[in-house]
This record gives sequence, C-alpha cells and structure tokens, in this order.
Amino acid sequence: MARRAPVLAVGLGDIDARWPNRDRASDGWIGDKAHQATKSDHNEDGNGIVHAQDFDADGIDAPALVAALIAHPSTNYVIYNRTIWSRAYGFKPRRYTGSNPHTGHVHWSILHTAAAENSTIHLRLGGGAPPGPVAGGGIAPMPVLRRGSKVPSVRTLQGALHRGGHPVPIDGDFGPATDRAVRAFQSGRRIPSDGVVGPRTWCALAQACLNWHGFNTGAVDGILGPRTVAAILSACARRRRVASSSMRNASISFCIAMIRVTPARLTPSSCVSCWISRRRSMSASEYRRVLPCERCGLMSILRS
Amino acid sequence: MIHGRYRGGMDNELTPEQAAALSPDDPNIAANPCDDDPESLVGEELGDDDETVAAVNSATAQDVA
Repeated sequence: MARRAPVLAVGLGDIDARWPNRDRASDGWIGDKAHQATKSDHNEDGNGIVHAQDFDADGIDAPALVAALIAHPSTNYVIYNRTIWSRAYGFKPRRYTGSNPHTGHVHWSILHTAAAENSTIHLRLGGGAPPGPVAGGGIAPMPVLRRGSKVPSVRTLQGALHRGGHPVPIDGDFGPATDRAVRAFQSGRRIPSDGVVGPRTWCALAQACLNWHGFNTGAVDGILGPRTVAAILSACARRRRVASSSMRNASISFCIAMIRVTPARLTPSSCVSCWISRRRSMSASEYRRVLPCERCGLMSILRS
Repeated sequence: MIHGRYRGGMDNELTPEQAAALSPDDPNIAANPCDDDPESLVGEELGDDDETVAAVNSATAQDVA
C-alpha cells in the first residue's frame, strides 16, 4: 500500500483553497513507471510512504508557493524553474541541473521523519488565514515602538540594538539615547530613519542578531527573504525548537526572543544592563563574549 | 479499496495494483519527467539578480508586509 504523507495532502488543500481554479494537470504524488526506475521521493519508501508532491504551476502564484514551501518545517527541498531550494544548502537557491527544468510544475519533497510526514501545519499562502489551527501561532507580533514607549519590548529592542552595533542602556525606557540608536541603525540599512520600530526595523534587528549568532541571513535589510527564513529555521533547529509554518509571520518576534534564551547563563554581576550604564560602547572582542544574564534574560557581556 | 479519497480527485492511499492501473492522466500520478536522485543535481548558488530568486524573495517580502 502506497500512502501519501499526510502533510502533502494538507499542503494540497491549502493550495486548492488559495487558487481554486488552478490547473491540476501536472499534479501528482505517486510516481509513474518512469519514476519507479529512479531514486525519487515520488516512490514509496520501505514503510510505504511517498514523500513528494507536484503542483501544476499554471493558475497559481508559483513564486509565492515556493516561498511558502521553503518556510514549511517539513520541507526537504523544492524545485521550480531550474532552481532548487534544499535544506542541505540552507535553502539558499541553487541552479537545478536536472534534465527536467520544472518550469511547468513545482516539486515539493519533505523530510523522511514521522514528524514531517504527519505535520498538520498549513502553508502560508496569503489571501486570508489558512484553515485550521497553526502551531506556534501563540507568538505575538512585536509591537511598534517609538520614543516615549515604556513597555517590556523596549528592553528587547535595546538588547537587539547591541547586536546591531548601536549599544544603549537597557533600561526599558525609549528615550533620546534609544531614539538616536534606532535612527542610526535604520540609516545604515536603507530603512527610513524615523525612529519608529516597526516590522521592517524589527526584522532588520532580527537579522543582525541572527548574523551575530552565526546564522547567515545575507543582507541586513529588514526584508524577510528565504535566506532569513532559512537562518531562522536553522537557529530553531539548533535550539531544538519546533519550527512552524507560522514562523514567517512570527519570525521577527521569535528571533528577538531567541536572543534571550541561550544555553549559557551569567550572574547579574555580568549583566550588560548594569554594565553598559557605565560604558557606551563595546569592542568587537567584547561582543563575542556576550551571553544572557540570569536576572533579566537579556544578552550580557562576560567580563574578562 | 481506495482509502481517504481527497477532494480534487486524489487519493491518499493506493494498493500496488491500484497504482499500476492508473493512467498517466490520473491526478494521483506524478507523470512529470523525473531525474534520478534530483537532490544531487545541484549547481551554483544563485543570487538575488536571478529572475526566479527575485520573484520568490519578493513573494516572501510581500507576505510579511
């Protein structure tokens, strides 16, 4: 008995709901006889599971579908239009050199794990909320902050500004110093330098944090592209977090939250929020010793 | 017996006999020409100036905006 991995049917339902009048001629999951002679995820494995689904590219926004598939935690690789996005390469786009250019359909292969196969997480295809619950949806979006804000997220912002190279006292008060740091950070990233911390600035800060932690997001521009998504997922995998399809929407808050939870912890005496109040700048070597404080949870510098 | 018939004409389970009996036009069948071991057929990394990459990046950014 060949059985399609359930997540493939979930994705197919999402696509049908998003583009009900799409062409389905090139759809399919179980391989034909030609596939059976090859190594293909369209062939059932030893457990009878098929791990791939093709979607006809006509009548849909194929790039949007590819983006959604890349962001799905079950995905192993996606092929479309002579391009492959593979988990093995951090989902960075690479030339697909196979004989079939995949110009007429999008190929989706998933991981050969029970969690990936049985995932109920939906594809984020825009055009309204996906049907059913989405795991990870409890992560609240980061609020828009500006001068005068005095909410807990200000401390998160101030911690992230350290990663962005503009350290300020972590005091939870969006005052003149934080305002200047935000504007300076924005101006260096082609973001309108208005001092308002909205989605794009949060995203850019998240990218700076991810890069600092060694996850390459490419440009720090506040645009949540595949590289940034891949970096987020890599960071999540490293932390053994459950990545979800809602990650793209929640990624900004998740990235920022990420910098507050790392394996090592320090004593309050090393807390940057205490230490930085006495200093206004950090050297590169000091940045490399940044760890979280056990008191406030924000990143701190391990003083030598 | 076919289990879990899916909307759109697809099934979720097929016996070998059922699968073998399906025509290439059947919606279950992945009939697009397939390369052997596709994941191994990977070339150079593509930049943002690539048309397909740019379109995917744009789609991702629009989702966030």
